Order: sequence, then structure tokens, then C-alpha cells
Amino acid sequence: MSAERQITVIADELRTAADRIMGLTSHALALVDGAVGGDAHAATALRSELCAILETCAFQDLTGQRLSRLSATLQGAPRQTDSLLNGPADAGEGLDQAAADLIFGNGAGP
Amino acid sequence: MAFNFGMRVLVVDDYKTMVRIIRSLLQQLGFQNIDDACDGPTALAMIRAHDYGLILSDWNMSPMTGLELLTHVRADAASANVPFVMVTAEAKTENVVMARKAGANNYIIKPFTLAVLKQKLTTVFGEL
Repeated sequence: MSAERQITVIADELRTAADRIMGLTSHALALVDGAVGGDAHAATALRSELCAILETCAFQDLTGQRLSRLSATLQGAPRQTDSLLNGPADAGEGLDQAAADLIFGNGAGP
Repeated sequence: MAFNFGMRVLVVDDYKTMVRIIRSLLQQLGFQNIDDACDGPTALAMIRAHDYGLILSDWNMSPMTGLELLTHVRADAASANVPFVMVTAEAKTENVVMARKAGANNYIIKPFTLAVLKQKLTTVFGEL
């Protein structure tokens, strides 16, 4: 993948992560009053939103790996020779969790 | 080792953010005793020094990959049966096949959710 394309992918991932975090945070803030007021459903939903924010922060790892790959591209470093070290898959490539589960023998995915 | 939420868990990842995420999600599931390591050699030393009930490891690390760590863990009689879950962005068929052959108990592709983490650990241990 060209350096320019890698930069576009990274920018898209950052934008998506930021949008998701802001959306989850907004929803979580809306739930706070209910949770503080003793609404158990609101408290459960709030916990769920906060976990989702945490999950979204994985973007830092994934974009970090993409940036390392980009840096190698820009420096003209020799291509990675270990076929098992590819980093995050490009859009439309790579297995999803369900496919990995089938290969691993877990049966149905999540 | 029989499952219990107090069992010692080791999270291995060279990205501190991911260690924090996994630690927090494990705590949400009820795990209480979580260690972490930022590379394979450090993790291996910790595994040899302590009795872990679960290891979750990234793959793409240097100087020792998660696959190499798994191979070392399985080669040692003391840790040969410790549940080992690969948590990685590596998403090629060959990766999953190699991890399974090397003795991983499950495989989680990043990014993942709390629900996925719970389901994969349930597959390893039974109902949490």
C-alpha cells in the first residue's frame, strides 16, 4: 500500500474512533442523571457505554502499528519477511472474529 | 488449575494502552489479580516465576513475538497447560492456524469487545 493510502487509512481510523468516543460519551452523560437518581437500568447502560469507550481506545494500538508500517515505508526499509507479521488488516482483507472462530474450532462466532 | 476470579492473570502487549484496556475489561468480568508485561522475555520470566492461571498475549512484539512466547510456554512442563489466548491484530488464516498448532487456547482479533472477551474466556474455562 502506498504511503499516501496508508495515511488516508490512518486518518479515517482516527476520525472514526473520535466520532465513536464522542457519541458514546454524549450518551453516557445523558445516562448519568438517571444513574445518580437510582435508576438501575440507567446505571447498567452507563457501564455498558463506558466499556464501549474503553474498547474504542484500541485505535491507539492499531493506528500505532499502521504508523510504524508507514514509517518503514517512508524510510524505504526492507519489507517485513516474516509472513506472520502483517499488522492490522486493510479494509476488506483479513479475517473477522467469526471466521477466526471457525478456523480455531470454536464453532459459531460471537 | 481450577478456574477462579482470583487466579493470577498475565497480559502481554507492547502497547500500554492495550494493556490498560484488557486489564479494565478483565476487571469488569471479575478478574482481580492481573499482571502485565510489555515484551516476551519479561513475560517469560514472570511465567517461570509465578503460577498463572491465564495468559493473554499480543503477537506482533519484539524481540520475541507472541507466537514465540507461546512456543516457550508450551515447551516448559510447568506452564505447558496454562490457558493462553492470543489477542492480536494479525488476521490472516495462517496466523490463526499457526496459533492453534502452537497450542493457543483461543484467538481474539483486535479490536474486540467485552462480549467477545467474555465469550472466548468462557470457551476456555466454561461459564465464568
